[in-house]
Amino acid sequence: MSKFVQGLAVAGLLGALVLAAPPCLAQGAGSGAGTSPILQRIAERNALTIGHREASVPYSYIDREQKVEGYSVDLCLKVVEAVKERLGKPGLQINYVPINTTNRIPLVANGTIDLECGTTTNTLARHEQVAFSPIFYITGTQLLVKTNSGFKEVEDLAGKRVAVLQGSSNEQSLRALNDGKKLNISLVYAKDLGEGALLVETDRVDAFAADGGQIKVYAATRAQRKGSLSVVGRLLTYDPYSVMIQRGDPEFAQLVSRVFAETFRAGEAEQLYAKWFGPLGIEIDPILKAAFEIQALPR
Amino acid sequence: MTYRWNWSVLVTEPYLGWLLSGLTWTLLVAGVAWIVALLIGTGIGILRTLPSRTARAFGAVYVEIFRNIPLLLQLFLWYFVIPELLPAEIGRWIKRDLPMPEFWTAALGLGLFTAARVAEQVRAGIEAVGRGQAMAAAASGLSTAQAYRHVLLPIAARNIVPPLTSEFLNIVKNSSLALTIGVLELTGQSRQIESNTFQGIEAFTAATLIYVLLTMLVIAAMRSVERATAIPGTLARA
Repeated sequence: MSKFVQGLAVAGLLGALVLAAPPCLAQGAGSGAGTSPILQRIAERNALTIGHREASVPYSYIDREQKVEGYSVDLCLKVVEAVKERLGKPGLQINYVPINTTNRIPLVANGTIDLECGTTTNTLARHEQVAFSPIFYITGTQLLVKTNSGFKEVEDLAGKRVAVLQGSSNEQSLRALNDGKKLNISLVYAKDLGEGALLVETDRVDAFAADGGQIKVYAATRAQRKGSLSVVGRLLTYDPYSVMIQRGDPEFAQLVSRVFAETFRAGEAEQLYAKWFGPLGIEIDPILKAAFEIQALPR
Repeated sequence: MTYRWNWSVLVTEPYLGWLLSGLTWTLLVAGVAWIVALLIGTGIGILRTLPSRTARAFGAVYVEIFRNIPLLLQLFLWYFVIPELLPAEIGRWIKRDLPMPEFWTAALGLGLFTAARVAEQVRAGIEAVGRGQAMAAAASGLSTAQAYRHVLLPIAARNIVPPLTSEFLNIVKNSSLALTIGVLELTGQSRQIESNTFQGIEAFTAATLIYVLLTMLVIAAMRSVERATAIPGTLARA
């Protein structure tokens, strides 16, 4: 196939999905995309789409200047750098699409977003629909309570009212505990983090069960009176966060894994953690430090 | 699209139970709200047509307040703001001791909002009966109360069945906003299924179909009300 004919063919394919194109043409669309449909798609659009949360401080949120930023987003930007290098496109555009817990799976599955950079727990059930990056944060269900309430563990809340996020892993675990230990807790469903905390602050509920990391940040930064809220209790669940990508693209998954391993090995992940959580006075958890070391695969 | 379809989640436990429980809450919220809306809406609608200026003004104020604030915001105000403004004991009772506070807040909030819309239908229905009928009633010696009781309301009620059908459908659909203050009705439960199984498309499709079935039933029921109460020779189809 001559260069000229190949060029014509590529021009004709513009707008059509590159997925259907034989590899020799895809090479023309973006050198270095190889057989990866996601990389081909990015090369084709000359843009990579990041899905982000709107208010998950400090992981993934829109700041006062309407800029998308956060710990998860910074890690994703490392992947973007690697994609630019791989495709030889230093001027690659980044598009930001806000997502929520309801639409994040369909948007990753149908290819609207290339990287989901939020606070998504990496679970086996979810592997049915999407693929995940290595683990970049570890948390678990804890309780947000009023500091002067004296509650220490979930057992202290027997017969009380506890808020949970609708459809969260925290809710499932609390419900299981409640049934198993006959605690007789009544669950109240909140829509998002701010609302759950508000329920505690207005005494509608006695505690709010959510991801420990996130409620610690909330208590440190947004409690109406400083120190009025605290996070208590053992970790009731194990919630490792990962970046979501489309399933069935081993080449792109490998690129993502490689970037994360390099980031962990170079100590950059720890620096990013310090950058985002240091100002909030939240120290890195030994278990997360260990996770970084374990996942820092050698070259 | 790499989505993996799995329709069987809809018929496996616990998810089938969740959908059914969501349907139950939707029916409860919509049902209680509809009763509130009909009672208050009829009252306010009548006030808006009375000779008394004060009564008309009161009705107008009610309608404008409840009609001009988005329903979502109204629910938030009832749920988060009002209990904080009330005396501490009453607020605390609403928040803690009232059984199922989320449900009652949602049902009453939705009912009061829809009442404003029902009131407008009732007012229009009474005005549509025409001044001639009202005058004829007065001329035959009926008091205002008797004129409403025996002439105006019976005809108006029949005339407004079709527009009330739309309000009834709206109340069924608007009940989905109850999820924002923690009532796990049909939409809320389908979101729960989505986050548990990641099979969101199936769950939302099921919820959509259930809503369509529900609204079809409402339409059929209202049609038969219309037919059963029709007076030959009036507006309603014989």
